[in-house]
Amino acid sequence: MAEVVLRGVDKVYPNGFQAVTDLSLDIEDGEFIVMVGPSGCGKSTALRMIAGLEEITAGELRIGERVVNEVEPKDRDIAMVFQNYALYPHMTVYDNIGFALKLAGTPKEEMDRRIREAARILELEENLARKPGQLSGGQRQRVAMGRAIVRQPAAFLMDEPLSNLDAKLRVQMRAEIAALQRKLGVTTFYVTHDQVEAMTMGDRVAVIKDGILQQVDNPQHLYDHPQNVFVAAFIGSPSMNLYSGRLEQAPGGGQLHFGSQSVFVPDHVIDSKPGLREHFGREIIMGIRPEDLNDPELAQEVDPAQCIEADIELIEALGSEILVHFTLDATAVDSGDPDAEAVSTDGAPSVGRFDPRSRVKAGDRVKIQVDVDRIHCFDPDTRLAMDAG
Amino acid sequence: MQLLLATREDDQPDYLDLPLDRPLESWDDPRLVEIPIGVHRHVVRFVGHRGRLYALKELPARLAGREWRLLQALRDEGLPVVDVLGVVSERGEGLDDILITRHLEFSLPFRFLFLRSGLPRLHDSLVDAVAALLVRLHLAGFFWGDCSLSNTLFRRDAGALSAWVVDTETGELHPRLTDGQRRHDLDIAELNLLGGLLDCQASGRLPTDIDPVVVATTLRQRYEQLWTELTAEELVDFAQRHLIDERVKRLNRLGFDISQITIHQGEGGSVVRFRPEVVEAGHHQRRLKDLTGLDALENQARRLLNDLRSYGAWLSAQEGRELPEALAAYRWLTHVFEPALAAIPDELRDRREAPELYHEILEHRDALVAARHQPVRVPEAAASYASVALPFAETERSVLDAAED
Repeated sequence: MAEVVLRGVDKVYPNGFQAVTDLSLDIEDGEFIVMVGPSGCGKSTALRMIAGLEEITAGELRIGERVVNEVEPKDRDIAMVFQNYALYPHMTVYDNIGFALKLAGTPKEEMDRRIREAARILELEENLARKPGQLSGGQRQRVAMGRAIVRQPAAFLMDEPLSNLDAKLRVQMRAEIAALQRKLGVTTFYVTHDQVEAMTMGDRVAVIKDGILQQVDNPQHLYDHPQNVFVAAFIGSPSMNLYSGRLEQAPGGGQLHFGSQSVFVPDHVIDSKPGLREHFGREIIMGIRPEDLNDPELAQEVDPAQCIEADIELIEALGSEILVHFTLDATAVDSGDPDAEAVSTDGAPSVGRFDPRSRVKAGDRVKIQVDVDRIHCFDPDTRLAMDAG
Repeated sequence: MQLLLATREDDQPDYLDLPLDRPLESWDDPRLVEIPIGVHRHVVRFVGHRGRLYALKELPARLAGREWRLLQALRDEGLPVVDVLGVVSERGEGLDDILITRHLEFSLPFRFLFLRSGLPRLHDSLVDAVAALLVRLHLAGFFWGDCSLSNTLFRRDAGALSAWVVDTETGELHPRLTDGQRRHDLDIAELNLLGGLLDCQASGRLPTDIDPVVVATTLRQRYEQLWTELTAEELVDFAQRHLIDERVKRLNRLGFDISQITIHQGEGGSVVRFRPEVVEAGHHQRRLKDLTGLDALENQARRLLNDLRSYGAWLSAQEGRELPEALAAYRWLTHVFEPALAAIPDELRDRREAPELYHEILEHRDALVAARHQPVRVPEAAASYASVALPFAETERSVLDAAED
């Protein structure tokens, strides 16, 4: 096991395209870190530099105590998992897990020990004599993982390993990989474009865009305290609602105007956001998570000054919650996510996550309560959060 | 539902009358050809139509689109990949796309080769074919990511094998590959080759004289040798600069043409440093095509060109003048090649593709010469081959992986 450290790493391709800029990241020994970002953001390039598949243009990469910038991929003591996970139908689980060790010339007794240890960890001991065709989908995936485990690498690298699987197996495998990683305690760098995958699997999540690391944090802190507009919009499903607005001073706080809507923000909220008070009389970007929009009919106390009004366009009843879609006449904000839908010029499409007891219907004009204690504010020039973190 | 076709060929099936709105696994159609293909990442089924087979693979839209583009790009580069014909998308709620490719005619899955290839030193041919394929792909900037025996089809190529890519799900096309990418791809190929051979061994179908570990590790040696021969910079004494021409000839013999050679003369002029830049393989294929219009694989083309040139030399001696190669080629085609194939009964034509048939006729002639200790002409060899050898060869127009059950 080993820590993986990137210091000021750049990747510039021969055509001049800079894929990664000044990437610094400490992956602690045994940590599971997930790098997430939209297509073309540089996440796979980062992984490939760690793997040795891409040369590092500048900066330093350390695995354990060694600087490995110039070290061959096979000598870096890392395992790329799931690049190819075909199982061989005529070979037993035992042989499917262990055959790669033959290439390395591993002695027979050592091979046997490692295979049985991997099978124990993966709870496949009862299946060692079986063929892949006799296993469930999840068990087959575990056999494939076993192939990486028996190599006993210092670190695992996983590049979108679940992208080929169907939705059901993908969800199952997320949990299996995360649990296995904890059991093994092997340093793991995992790359995905799927923020749900990132949030549910990683000890920490590194968000990257345009080759520049945006924020590294544990999933909950990343969700609660996004450092900029991109992270705010990218993390969370449905996405955070983002509006261009204007903050005006008001007795006991401020009045936040966006389109024809307006909510009162009390002093304690303004004071919790460094720099927000200096934005009185100026534009800001405000963000509201869908779950911070509620049906006031279900609330015990409702402050009309913290409600907005909207025409409901669509209801998605998901059982445990209701997703309420509406459009405000405010200016929508482009988060900079190239994979996101184009920003509407005809109002700001918005989503609220209501309690399932809500009786709102499509076509209703309703009041929606904003939990102003949980709003997010961003500087429109720097697009950075005004957040004490 | 949307059907995106690369071409609209007359002989393709009318896909729209297939039950495209249902999961591929549940189809029950008389045109489906049931082939056991073992554990597979995605559902793959085959449709038979006018004696040809079409592979239909169901996979998520993002992957289908990617594979469609990659296969087209590789084909445009002249690389040996299966023909991608179409993608069916928007099939309905919860249904993935379907990628349609044409099954490569006269191709052989590796398990078939081990059962009955008739090739001497089969494992050498197999490894050479995979190494050459990987080198060609890497020269073109293609990182395969899953080079394996299952993702490759083989065609007979004048007593050797030629390998073709059938699956590019994990592939990436770059302007050029780094050494790290190449080596990682080779690591994957080596491991997959070992896995494929061990699996064949586990099924009891691997000849006992083949050691999977030895064969797998040979792949790396063959790859490195070929890569070095094709790309390495060389230093030679100025007096020995003829070695540059020899290198070019060696590369031509390997089937590669040279686009340019960069030559640097060292200080004092005593040493020359040079690096050839090869273009896509097919030196002999292109020459044969230019001279005769025949399509053949590289080794087949080399063999046919040798025969053509021998015939041209004999013809020149007969006429007492040096015949232009184009004229000799025309005479060889009409007086030797075509009559030899015409001697093959129609019902046996499906056993091998035409250039391979001709190669085997020449092999048969050499065997007759060795047995009789006297010259044998091609028409006689063709007649003998058609009566005593070819009837016992299996039809190889459409061999699928039926051995995997």
